[in-house]
Amino acid sequence: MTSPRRCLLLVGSPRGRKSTSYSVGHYLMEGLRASGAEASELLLYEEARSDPSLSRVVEHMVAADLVVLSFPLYVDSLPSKVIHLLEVATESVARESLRGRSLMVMVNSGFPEAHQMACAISSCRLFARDTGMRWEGALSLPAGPMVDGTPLSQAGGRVRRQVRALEAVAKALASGESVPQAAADDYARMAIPRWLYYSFANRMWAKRNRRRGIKADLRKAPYR
Amino acid sequence: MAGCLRLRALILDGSFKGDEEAKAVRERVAQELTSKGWDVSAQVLHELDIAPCTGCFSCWTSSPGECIIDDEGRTVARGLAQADLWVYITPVTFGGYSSVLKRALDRLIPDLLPFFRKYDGESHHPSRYGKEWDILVFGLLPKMDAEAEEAFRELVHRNALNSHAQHEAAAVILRGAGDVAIENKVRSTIELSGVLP
Repeated sequence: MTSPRRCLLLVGSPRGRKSTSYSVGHYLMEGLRASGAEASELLLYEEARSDPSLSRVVEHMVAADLVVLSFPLYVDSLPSKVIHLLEVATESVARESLRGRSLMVMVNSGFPEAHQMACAISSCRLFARDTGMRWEGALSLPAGPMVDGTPLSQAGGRVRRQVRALEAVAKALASGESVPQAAADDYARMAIPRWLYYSFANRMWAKRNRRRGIKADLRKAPYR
Repeated sequence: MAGCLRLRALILDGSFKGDEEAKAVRERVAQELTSKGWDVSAQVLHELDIAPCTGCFSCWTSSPGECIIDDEGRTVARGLAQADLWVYITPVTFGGYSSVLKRALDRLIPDLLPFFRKYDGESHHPSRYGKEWDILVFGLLPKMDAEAEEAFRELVHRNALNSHAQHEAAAVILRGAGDVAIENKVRSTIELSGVLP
């Protein structure tokens, strides 16, 4: 692609600005801004509460040279609202207008294995194919709770690989190149071994309850 | 299965309003499974009031096992928890599921436990009910599309890993194929999947 002038971050997490999808996407946008691009951000769940407003989101996509779609993995795929947006984009008159625009995708998930996000990436690539958008690549962030919506600039050493990778990706995209494979690989590596992540993640839920003063049996089975 | 409890199948029809081919698939699946002794129920998802998941994880913390959104998403999660076999019907959408089906599936997280366990070297969440849910998925495609079909089959496989399925099958039906083709595809998919007792 040619160097993108207008970049749009589309955040497909219901947690909006508090989400990991936002914190990683925002960091990338900062990098693109630093390279001279005009970067804007849009929170899908706030902007699009109905079909007509989804069409307006599509208009924002059409107005951008580069769309960065950042979302959490839900049940091996994209959240339903993000799928709905893509459905609207392919059905509306905007479909032809998306041709030639660029699409880059950022997925994050609680799973410690990056390959569990491959289906979501395949769907986005097929969307790009169906609309004639240029596919610029994807980034998969495993162990998303390690970030848990913290701005990357404040998240410290646990995200140093991701920070380094995003800086390389911003530089590449700003120069009109796709996501470099080395940066994608760096981004997908966890800072800690899987056993340690399990130990952290498996205690996280009870800890959350304790912090809020909630007593609940996490193994309760109400539909038995 | 004399003397045994009948196995339960829940069909989730994730098609859009007016999709007669999806309806034909749904009816054929119900007929086929019923004739084999299954207790079958079906939900036509576009007729239900199901809000998108808000990612709050209350179903794993403050209200374990139940979504805090009090709508028909809970009915679907309850039905899936109590079923032995999940059957999805969907237009193949970018090699995946329609937003209608996905809205319901995003709300099934309460049926899993929040903890990670390693299964065959990969991380997954255990079933809250200690069950292994088998999965059959029927996707409708307007025309041959090898790339979309491959992505669709992979997604079904990933879902099956996460539901700890013993048996799984993904079948693609081309639109316009006709009733006989639908009947044959549904029958062969069910027979070959291994879900029949």
